[in-house]
Amino acid sequence: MNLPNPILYAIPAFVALILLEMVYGRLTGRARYEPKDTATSLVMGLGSQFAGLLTRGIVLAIGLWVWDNYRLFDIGFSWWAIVLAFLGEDLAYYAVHRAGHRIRWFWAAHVIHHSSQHYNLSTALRQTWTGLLAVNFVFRLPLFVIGFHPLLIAFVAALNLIYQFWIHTETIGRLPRWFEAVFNTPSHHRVHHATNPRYLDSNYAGTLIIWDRLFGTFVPEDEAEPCRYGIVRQLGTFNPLKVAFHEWIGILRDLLRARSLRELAGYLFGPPGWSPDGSRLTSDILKARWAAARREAAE
Amino acid sequence: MDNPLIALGSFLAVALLVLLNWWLGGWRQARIEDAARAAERYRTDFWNDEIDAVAVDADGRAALIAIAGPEPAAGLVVAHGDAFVTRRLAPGSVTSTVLGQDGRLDVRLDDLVLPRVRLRLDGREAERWQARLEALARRRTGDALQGV
Repeated sequence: MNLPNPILYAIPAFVALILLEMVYGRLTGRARYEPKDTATSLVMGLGSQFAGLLTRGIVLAIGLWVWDNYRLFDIGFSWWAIVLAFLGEDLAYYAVHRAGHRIRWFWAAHVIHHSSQHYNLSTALRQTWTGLLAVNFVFRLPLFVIGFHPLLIAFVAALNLIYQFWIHTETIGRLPRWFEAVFNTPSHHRVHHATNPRYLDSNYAGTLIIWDRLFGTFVPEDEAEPCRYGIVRQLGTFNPLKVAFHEWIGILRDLLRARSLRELAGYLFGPPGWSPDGSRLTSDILKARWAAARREAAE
Repeated sequence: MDNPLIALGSFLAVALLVLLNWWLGGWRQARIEDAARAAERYRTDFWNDEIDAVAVDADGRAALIAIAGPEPAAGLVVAHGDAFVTRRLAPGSVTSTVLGQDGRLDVRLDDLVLPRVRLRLDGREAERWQARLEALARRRTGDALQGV
């Protein structure tokens, strides 16, 4: 079965919607664009598509090998298979995304998407170049073992990414309650991109926010605390190469000075910001300090 | 993207969007208006630090923050596009400093994504800050403070 790459068809819509948001933002002040930031986001997006050209074949080959040799069922390509595949892929996305924030190895690839201090539709396209290096695809291997064809998973994964484009905006407030309850929305995803301590490490969903509600990682947006976007240690550069590789270089530097296997493992697979002596800031430390400061202020 | 026409179209679209962003305007290069603004911005990220003093670059591009406490440390606020980047400088975070004419202080950091900051300060203030930052450069410990 030959399935199209929906992202290629969506690119003109992405461009048109960014253009529209830019003009709307200029007229109303409800969206913020800065040319160097926009250029960086779009170049990262372009780069990720080229990186995908080089790596997609490898991931597909691994997926096909697993599906050929280890599948439990032959699920096929019927309409219900597409629905089930979408649900399964969305759950796998939740898992890989959560790992992308809690394990430094995966964070090194994912940090790129969070590295802008802006939150607009161009930020949606600020994507990693090193997804293969991070071996993100391992989270989808169980789907192939169940029996979903790798091409079907690639197709629904692309649909999932397309869904996530429109939620990267400040121009849309809250949507109807039933929609906010089930789907990932601009409001939920703003929280995910925020660096305010109370919002850190939350709302990992791709399309369905139900996974966050189910696994206890859901945090609603609080109008009293506007989101501040980016990463805790903001980047002072627009250089795409530094944006793409800075955390990998940071890992390498740390590994070179690791003094034990425990340190080696901590630098690779500990949470981002982990250090042997606890001198750096992980999101857990930040959240704890913030909560303590709030308690102190209240007393 | 393996189709050259799609690749070319994507390059053109990126260029068009960035040019349009430039042409439309609506953004402003970030500028630190005064010491109070610098302190406020620093406190947003490092709310536990007690600020002793603030020195703001004459062009409003950066500010240095003196932090009270038993351990030597300093803060930094740097304009980046229309936003700001902050750092807490602990021992080992500073690589070197060079004080030029007219109070131009060039600070090199052990930081891949913020390797260099330049400030223009009042002559004596620049000297004081150079001494303070040099102390941070000398007192290198195992890890420079890094966040997530």
